Amino acid sequence: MPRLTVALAGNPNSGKTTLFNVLTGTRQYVGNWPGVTVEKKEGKIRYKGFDIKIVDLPGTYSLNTYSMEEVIAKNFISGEDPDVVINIVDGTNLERHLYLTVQLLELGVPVVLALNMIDEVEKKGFRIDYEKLSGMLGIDVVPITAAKGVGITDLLERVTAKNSVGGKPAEKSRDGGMPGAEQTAFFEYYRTIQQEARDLHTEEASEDLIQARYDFIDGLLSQCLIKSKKEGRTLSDRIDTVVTNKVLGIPIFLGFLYLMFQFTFAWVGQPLADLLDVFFGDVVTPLTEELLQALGAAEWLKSLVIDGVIGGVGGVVTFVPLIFALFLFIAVLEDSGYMARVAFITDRAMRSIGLSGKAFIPMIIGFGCTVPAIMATRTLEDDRDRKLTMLIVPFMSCGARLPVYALFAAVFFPGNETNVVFSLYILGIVIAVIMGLIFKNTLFRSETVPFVMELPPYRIPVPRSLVLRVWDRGKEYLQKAGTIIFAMAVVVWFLSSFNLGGPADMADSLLAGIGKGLAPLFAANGFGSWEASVALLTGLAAKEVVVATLGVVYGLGELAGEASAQVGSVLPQHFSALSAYAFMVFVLLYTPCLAVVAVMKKEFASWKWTAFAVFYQLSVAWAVSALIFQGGRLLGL
Amino acid sequence: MTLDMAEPGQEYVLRGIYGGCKLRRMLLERGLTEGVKIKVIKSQPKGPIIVEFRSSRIMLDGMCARKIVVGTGQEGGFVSVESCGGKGKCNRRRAKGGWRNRGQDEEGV
Repeated sequence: MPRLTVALAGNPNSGKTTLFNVLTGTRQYVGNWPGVTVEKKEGKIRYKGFDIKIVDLPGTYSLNTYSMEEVIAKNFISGEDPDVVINIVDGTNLERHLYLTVQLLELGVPVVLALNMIDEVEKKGFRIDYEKLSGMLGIDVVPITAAKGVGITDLLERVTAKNSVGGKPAEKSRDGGMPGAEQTAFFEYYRTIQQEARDLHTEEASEDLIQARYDFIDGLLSQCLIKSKKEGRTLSDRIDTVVTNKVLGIPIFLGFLYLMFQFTFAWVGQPLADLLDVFFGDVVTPLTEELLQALGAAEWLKSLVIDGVIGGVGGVVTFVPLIFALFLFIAVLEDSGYMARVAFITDRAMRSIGLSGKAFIPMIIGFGCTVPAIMATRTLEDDRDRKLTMLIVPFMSCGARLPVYALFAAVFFPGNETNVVFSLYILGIVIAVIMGLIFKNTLFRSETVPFVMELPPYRIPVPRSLVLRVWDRGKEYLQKAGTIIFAMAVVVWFLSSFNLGGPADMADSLLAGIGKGLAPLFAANGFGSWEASVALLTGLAAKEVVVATLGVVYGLGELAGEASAQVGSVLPQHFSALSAYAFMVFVLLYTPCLAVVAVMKKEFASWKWTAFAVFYQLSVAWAVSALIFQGGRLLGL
Repeated sequence: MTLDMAEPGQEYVLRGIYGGCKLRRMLLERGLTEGVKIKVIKSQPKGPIIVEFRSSRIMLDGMCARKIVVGTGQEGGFVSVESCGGKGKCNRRRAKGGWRNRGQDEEGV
C-alpha cells in the first residue's frame, strides 16, 4: 500500500489543530519533538488505498530560525521531505497567512493550500477567486471549513491525486514550486527575488525579501480577493471594547475566574471527585478486601493492595475529575479567544516580574492544583517564559495544602484561622514575586523577548476539539497515576510498613529511620522531630497526606473522618504556635507533590531543570520557614 | 511619532521600525512592512497596545510600540533607521526621510 507523509503547516489560530483533529480523529499520537518541550502530534489515516501519516507541525507565522517552533517546522519540511505539505490558512486573513505559503513555495515543496473558515469568508462578504489563486500560485487550492468538516474529502482527494501519478510520488522541483509552473505569477516573483539575491549577495531573510513577499501577496490578492462589503464594527470589536476596558476588564476577568473555580470545585469537578472518593472508599476497598480474604491472601499483601495501591493511586485518581473540569473550562476560554485578552489585561503587572500576561493563567490555576497549572504553561510560546513560570507556579497555594493549614490553624490560632490561612496564600504570592524578580535578574537575564501576540476574533469553540484537547491533557495525568504515582505509593507503603527485620510499626519502620536522619535539618525551623520529618516526607506523595501521617506517627492509628480532631489534641505537645506557623510555611513552599515533579519533568523535558526546581523549592521552603521561626524567637514569640 | 503615542481609533501608515534585527524582522514577518496601514484599537501609556493591520489584530507590548514609527501618510518617504543587510549582522542604513537616529542606543534584542 502506498505510503504518504503529509505535513500540516499553518499559522497559530488558522484552525490547524481543528483540521488535524477532523482528519485523524482519535488516531493520534502525541509526543515531543526530540529534545524540546514542543508537542509533536502525528496521526495515521487511510484514504483510497493510501496509508497517510499526518504530522502536525507547530503553528508558526514564518519559517525562520527565531523560535523553537520555526526551527522544528523548517527542519521537518526541508529535512524529512514530506510528500505533501497541507498549508492551512485563515480565509478571512489571507493578507498575513499567505506569507507562510510563499515561504513554503520558495522551498519548492509540494503544497496544497487549504483555505479555512470559508463560511466566515462568505459571511463577511469576501469573494475569493480560487481558480485564479490556484493558477497564480501554481498549487491546488481547496476551500474548507474545518470546524464543520466541510471540504475535507476534497482536500484528501487533492493530496492523494498529487501522488497517484504512476503510483509513485510526483517529482518535486526545487526551482519554482511545481513542475510545469513556469507561467505562474509565483514563478515570476521567484525569479525576480533570486535575481536580486544574486545581485545583492544578501541572505535569504533580508528585510527586502520580507517586503517583496508581502508585495507579492498584495499583488496576488488585488486580483483574487474582493471585499465587497465595507468592514464595519464586528461583534468581536464590540466584545473587545467591553472586556479590555480599563475599568471593566479586570472585574470581568475576575468573574470568569470565579466561574472557573465554581465550575471546578463546586459545580462539576468536586462532586464527581467526591463520587470517585466514595467509590474507592466504599466499593473498591471493601470488595478488594473481601476478595483478598476469600483468596486467603497474606496480611502484608492485603496491606500493600489496600493501603498502598488503592490508598495511594485512588487518592490521586480522585483528582482526575477536577483536572478534567478545570481543563475543559480553560479550553473553552482558549478556543473562544478570551484567553488572549486576559494576557492583554494582566500584561503590565506581569512585566514587573519579567513575565508576559499569558503567564498569568497558569498562576491562577495553581491555586486549584499545581499539576494542571504546570501543564498550562504549555500555552506560553516562549521557552524562557515557560521555564520561569514553572519555577514560580508551585508557590501558589494549591487545594491539597489547605487541609494542613486548616488543622494547624484551628489548633494554634483559634479565632484567627482565616487570617492565618490567608496570610499563607499571600506569602506564597509574595515569594513567587520575589523569586520571579530574582530569576529575571539572574538565570533569565540576557533574554528579553518582545511580546507580540495575535488577538484572534472571538469564535464559538468546537465541541469536538474541546473534548480531544481535554482528553489529551487529562490522559497524561492518568498515565502518571498509573506509573510513577503507583510506584511511589508502593515505595512509601513499603518504607512505612517494614524495617530491615521485616514488618514493623510505622514508628520502627524504615520511613521513621529516614525521618530521624532528616530531623536535625529542621531544628532551625522549630520542628526537628522525626514525626514532623516523616509527615513532610510522605507529603511529597500528596500534601494532604501530611495530616494523615501525623495521625499515624503520633500513635493514633489509621484514622479516617475524625483524624483532624484527634491529631489536634496531641499537636500542642509537639509544636508551639510559632513552630506550627513555620511548619505551615514549609508545607506551603516545598515541592508540592510527586505528580508535580512528574509533570515538571515532562514539561521541562530535562531532568536537570526538574532537579533544580525541586532543590530550589526545598531550599526556599527551608530558608523562609527558618527565617520566620528564628525571627519570631528574636521577637520573643 | 512612535506607535505608543498614537491615538486610539486612528489609522496610521507605518514608516519604519527601529531596534535590533531580530525585533525588526519579527515584526516585518508579521506583516508590519513599510507603508502598511495600522489602526490603533487600544492604547495605554506604557502599553501594551492593540493594533489592527492586514486584517488581523495584534497586541504589542510597550517596548515594541515605542520602536514603531508611524505617520499620517502625508509625510512621504519612509524611515528606515536600521537595516539588516545580510550575513546576520545589523548594517545601519541612512535614514531616507531625515529621521534622526534616536533609537541607536536602544538596540539589544
